[in-house]
Amino acid sequence: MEHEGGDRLDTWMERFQIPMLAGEILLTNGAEIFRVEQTIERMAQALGAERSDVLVVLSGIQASFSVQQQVYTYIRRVRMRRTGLRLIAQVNQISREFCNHTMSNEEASQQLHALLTAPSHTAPLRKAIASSCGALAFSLLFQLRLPIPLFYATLNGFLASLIVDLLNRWKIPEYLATFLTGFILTYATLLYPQLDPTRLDRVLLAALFLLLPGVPLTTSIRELTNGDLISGTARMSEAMITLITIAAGVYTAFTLLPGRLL
Amino acid sequence: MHIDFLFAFIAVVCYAYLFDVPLKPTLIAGVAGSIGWMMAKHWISHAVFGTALAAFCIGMIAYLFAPRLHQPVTTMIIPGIIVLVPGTAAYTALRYALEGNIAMAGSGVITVFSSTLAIAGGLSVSELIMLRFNRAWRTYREKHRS
Repeated sequence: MEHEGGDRLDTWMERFQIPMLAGEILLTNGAEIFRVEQTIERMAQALGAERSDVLVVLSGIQASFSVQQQVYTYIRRVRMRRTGLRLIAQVNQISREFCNHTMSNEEASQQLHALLTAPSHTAPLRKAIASSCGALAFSLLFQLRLPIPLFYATLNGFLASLIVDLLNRWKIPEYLATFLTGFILTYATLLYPQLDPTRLDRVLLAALFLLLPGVPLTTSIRELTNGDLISGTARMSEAMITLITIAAGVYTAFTLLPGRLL
Repeated sequence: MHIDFLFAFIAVVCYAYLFDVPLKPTLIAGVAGSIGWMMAKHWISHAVFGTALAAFCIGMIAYLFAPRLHQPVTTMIIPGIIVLVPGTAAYTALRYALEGNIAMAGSGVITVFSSTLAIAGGLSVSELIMLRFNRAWRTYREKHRS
């Protein structure tokens, strides 16, 4: 099945880059593995692939599409991963229109390239304010009702987001950044005046919640039960390493300040 | 106790903003997440069962609104379950392990795994039901339009 119209994407080799690009954006922004595979397969089918085999693992995409007795194989390595759900929604929209043939190949390719280069990050200050509100709400949910600890929890949430952003900008390796964030936040919490040691844990947790891999842990179980064994295992190990790194940071801060709690 | 509903809503909305979710799914996820929190912590006394049922409800709401808002389900599920995920429990378990309190660490790990399994199970069941429901609804609509 050939598409009519003045496509500049006139070889199959170039056309199949469109689903690969969509998959890459989805994987980078934290979509589930089965959703990435499904999107790539559907878009390839809309392009006219007779058979498509897609294997997505957490760190890359491998796909081969067969059409007219030819097999086209692609590998994309994905190194950076973050959570940017707006981009997932936009790719979803493009994919839907593309599969309904209401969007041309060129248009889809152009829009996907625009998404790839678009800055997904909102302003650091706004993110920090959202994080501090989140920390406040979470510490209220954890039954913390006194004004001073609540204030410290909010401050911690604010600091957590700012530190994560700053370390990201300095291109500090991911796990070192997590370690440092845990360390700095714990040290700051230990130095706050007039903080009751029994509430220290909850004040700290409100800030660390931003880093804790609760969602990846759940996603990994969902992927494992779904049959994506490699990605599920990989995601779980990643969550474990993140957890251990945070705990190491917190523990280091506690041991450097003796006579408090441990 | 009822004020918790509001706090859970704010928490979900804030984290949805951090995850860069568009506005409408944010609000849906906020409502779903706060219903989930109330269900897991207040309405049902059994912790794991409550978590599973809460995840089921969040999944149901997300799958119900996803085709109607033209949004992927991920944009509502990930912020929605943020109040249920055992991040703090995992951290606490690891803290106990580092302190050498193996008994508490073991029980913490079991809590973490049971609640992650509960959330995953609840979401899968809601997905099973709602995918069929949405398909049936679509064919029904198309039949009555023509």
